[in-house]
Amino acid sequence: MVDPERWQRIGDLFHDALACGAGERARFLDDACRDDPALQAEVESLLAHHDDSSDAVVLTPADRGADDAGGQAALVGRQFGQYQVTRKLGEGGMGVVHLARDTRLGRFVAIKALPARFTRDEPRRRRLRREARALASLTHPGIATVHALEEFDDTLYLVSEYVRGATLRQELADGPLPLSAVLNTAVEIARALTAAHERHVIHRDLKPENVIRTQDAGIKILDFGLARFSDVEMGAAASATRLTEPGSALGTPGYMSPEQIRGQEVDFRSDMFAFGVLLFELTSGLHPFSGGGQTSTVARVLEADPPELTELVPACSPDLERIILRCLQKAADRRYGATRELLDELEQVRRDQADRSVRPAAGGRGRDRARTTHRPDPGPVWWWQFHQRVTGLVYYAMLYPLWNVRQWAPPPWGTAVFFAALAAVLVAGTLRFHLSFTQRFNPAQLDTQQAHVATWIRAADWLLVILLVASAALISSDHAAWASVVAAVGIISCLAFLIIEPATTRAAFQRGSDGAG
Amino acid sequence: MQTYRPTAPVAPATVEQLVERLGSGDRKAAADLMPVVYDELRRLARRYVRQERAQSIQATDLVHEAYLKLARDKRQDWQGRTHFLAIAAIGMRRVLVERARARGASKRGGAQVRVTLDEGLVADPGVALDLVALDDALSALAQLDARQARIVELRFFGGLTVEETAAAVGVSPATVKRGWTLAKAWLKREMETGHGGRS
Repeated sequence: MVDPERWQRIGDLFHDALACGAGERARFLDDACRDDPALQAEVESLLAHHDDSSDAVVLTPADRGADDAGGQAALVGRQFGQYQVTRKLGEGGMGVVHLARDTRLGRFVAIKALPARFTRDEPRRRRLRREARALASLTHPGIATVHALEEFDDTLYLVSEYVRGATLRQELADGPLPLSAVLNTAVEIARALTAAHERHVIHRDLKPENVIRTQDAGIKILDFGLARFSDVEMGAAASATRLTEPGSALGTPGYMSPEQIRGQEVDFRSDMFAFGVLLFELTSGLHPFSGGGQTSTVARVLEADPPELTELVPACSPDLERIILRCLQKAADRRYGATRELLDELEQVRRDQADRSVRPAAGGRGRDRARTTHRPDPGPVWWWQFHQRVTGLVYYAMLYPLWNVRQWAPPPWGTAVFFAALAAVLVAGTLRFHLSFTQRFNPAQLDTQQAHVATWIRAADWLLVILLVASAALISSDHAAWASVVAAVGIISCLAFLIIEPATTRAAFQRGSDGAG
Repeated sequence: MQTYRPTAPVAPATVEQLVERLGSGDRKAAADLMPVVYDELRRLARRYVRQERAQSIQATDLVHEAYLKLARDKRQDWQGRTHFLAIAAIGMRRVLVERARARGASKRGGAQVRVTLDEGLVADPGVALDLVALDDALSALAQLDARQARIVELRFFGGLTVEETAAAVGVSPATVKRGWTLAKAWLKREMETGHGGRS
């Protein structure tokens, strides 16, 4: 029977015994507990548990997902349709990954069984198929391609490209990469991310484990968008029995953006944050938000600033640090508004760095050059922005000639034309600025907003063009010069919104080809 | 002069004041803060389940997140923060154990967060700790030595460091270390043998 006093005694002996060396411990206890073997047994048992290096306590084995075991147990050696499973490749956030040979096409593929609980009912399966179709449409040399979603024996299998190589995590085991390697890797990852983001596919779980350096020294991002399969589809009960290796759970802490941690809506800028963490690690070998130990990583992601990169790695270029810091901004709208913008800047840094290494003594001239060429090539998003803003401004500018038309045209018509045009300009111009602003600061909302205002803009555009042409006709006899200006702007506007605008929109957001899908 | 209405919900603005008063040793503030912290922790834990993410979220992370939300203010003094975390630790223990028990009752049906506790009681962070057993063992320990149980609670559920724990309990860091070492060995044994601490 242990009471507080006895417990006190046990504690004292425990600590005294710990203070002794391992060799003397037994003798010390023999001495101290000569007349109380129970006390000795108690202390020894506690010491045994203190020394127990395995550290594991009683767990609840029932918690481990029973329904996963069946689906994934004995895949090796089996044949599913044209796929001959060869061996187990590893375990990832999605479950076990196997290597299989596609006997029909004679290539190797990675095949993973989707855990049964994601695929239990038909609506979920339909949804998974739709997601898989979107992923399969994503082809880029930097992204491991999803080949198919197959169904055998009531289980869904995701078949994707088999990528040989080492993960960046494995590379990081040897320490940080040299600057030129960081920049090359960064540009390649950013290219793949840009391609995906422009197709509205978000990775959601970007981390060094998910990026592979292939044998030809390129990179491939694995598991693009797969996090969603578990994220969206899982029921609450399923989460309780989730079988994943530690740290591979959806949204790996440490790579989750603040908004992901908070459970807010996630868009491509979350990937940007994860990318920033990854770049920081590649450059310095250190995670920007771990360390210190006293505060948890999650809390640090939420509130702490990353350490000074150029202090950790003196060779790191300040430009690269600036880019990484921008990716690591806590507020999503302070990161880059488009992944292409990020890519452009990374490419610029890489060019500057290459120049510097070619002409190390260029000194001041090199710096001048860097400054003047800093503006990256405008990407399609930039052109779209340009179009939206210029159109808006031109519309507003047309109010000036139309004000004159009001005085020159016969009384009722001039006034009517001006006020109708004023209404059209206000609608078409203002909504364009609104879209431009939305794209820049709230890109996640752009789709919705565009759908919302499209009819209004189009109606106002047509009204304005008709009014411009009509007023040109009204004043053509007395003010031919103004009439031709007004008519020309009308026709150009018409061409702009019928042809140029759809083209810039398609280029910038890849719409049209994949339509509503 | 302020009047207290402990049953009324505390507005966010007063949370900061409460934390501040905690720092100056106001016991009443602790009593007022507890329900707020507890509610916030419960809400956070629920949200983690709903979001289906971060399955092996650390208990400390939840506590810190709650702390950040409730006491976002730059001029936190250290005492205030420590006391806040100490209170959150109790809340966290309640939330987790409550969930674990509810889950035990409903077997598979109940939603839960898999929580990892810091400081080495669990070797593999991916597997769930038997929280109910831990709670039982901890209650038994409290019978033997309330201070040691408190230390475990603060270190485990609140993620306090040795120094912070020492400040919160009012003993020296060395005492915290001693108590922690012994309590850990004892808890491990109790949970392994399944006594639940009733010897």
